[in-house]
Amino acid sequence: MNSRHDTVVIIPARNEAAFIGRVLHTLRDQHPDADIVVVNDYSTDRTAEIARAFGVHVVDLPLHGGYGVTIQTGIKFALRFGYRHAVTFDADGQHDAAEIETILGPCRRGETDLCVGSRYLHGGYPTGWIKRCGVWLFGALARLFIGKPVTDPTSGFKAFNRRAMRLYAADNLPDRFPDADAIIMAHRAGLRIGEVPVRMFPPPDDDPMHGGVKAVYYAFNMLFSIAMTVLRRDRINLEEERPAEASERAGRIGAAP
Amino acid sequence: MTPRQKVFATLVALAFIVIIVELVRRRKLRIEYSWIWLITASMIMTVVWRYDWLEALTAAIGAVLPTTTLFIGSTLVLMFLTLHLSLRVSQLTSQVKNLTQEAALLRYELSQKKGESRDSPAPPAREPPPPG
Repeated sequence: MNSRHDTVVIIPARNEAAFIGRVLHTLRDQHPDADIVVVNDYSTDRTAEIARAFGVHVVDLPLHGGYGVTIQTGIKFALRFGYRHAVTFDADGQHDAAEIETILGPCRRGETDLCVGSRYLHGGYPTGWIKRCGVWLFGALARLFIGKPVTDPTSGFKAFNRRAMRLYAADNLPDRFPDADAIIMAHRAGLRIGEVPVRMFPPPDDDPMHGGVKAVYYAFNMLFSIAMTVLRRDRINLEEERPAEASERAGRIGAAP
Repeated sequence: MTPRQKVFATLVALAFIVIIVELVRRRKLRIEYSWIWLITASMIMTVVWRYDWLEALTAAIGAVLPTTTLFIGSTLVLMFLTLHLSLRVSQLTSQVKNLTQEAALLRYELSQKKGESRDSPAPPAREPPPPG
């Protein structure tokens, strides 16, 4: 990875003590100059401690926020500290550090604002039938609304430029599971979205986010969220804020009805 | 409505109003959440003293017994109330989310400024965003 402070790798982590050491070791090994921020989602194990031992930035959420909130915190970190690009990277070892440049490429070259790493684009990734149905359904919906294929709508391996980061930092982001709904929202906000094939490793334990009863909840949540995203006419400001606007916005508190 | 029923219902409504006012006075209940309860109590009072209104409403909605109207009315009030609370919970959830994120980022910046962790990397400069 080239110049320091150009790109930050965001790792959302909740109770990943078993894996995060190896993930950080590989990242450090392959990208010694990379800025890495671990967003610790109120872990009850040694996740934060292990991350600190690697000398990476660690941001601790003071309460359990969930996946979307954790990702968004990392994005806000990247915006606040002036990074031009950000990559989201799983803490459980699913993503391949060698592919970071692959997904950053289109953003760096200015071809896309948001680049999604797809494990299915070239096939060969083992997937259970429930997840395959979900990937097909949400991929088809995303394709319907953005007009081009989205083969891996649940991929957490994404690269952002600052415009894309602004969208993911917005209050309107569906912050429960920002997957296909967020991609559709990004497209409707005028962002250019791209997909590149990447190699991924099977998750160490079955993906807790998309299995069993939770799969049904996820599917319902995602369908409803996509419908609402399409029905809304959100106007999200993707341009840089002037400092005065930022402080004015930070000082505003939601009024009671 | 028998006088006994009237007295009982009136007492219930009055007790309700007193409790709500007292809770607001003790700052246990915020004013913005009290009005809906006060309106409910006033509605009970109205129905007690203007039973003819209840009968007229019963005829208007096509119900046979005034008690049916009362049941429908109380169910609707409860539904409205829980919806109102769900709205507030949703609003609070977003506010808590933003505060959580802001607190996490500020705590990070503070720890960097204090230089608590010598091993941790130099904080990235909080630089003005690049153009474009």
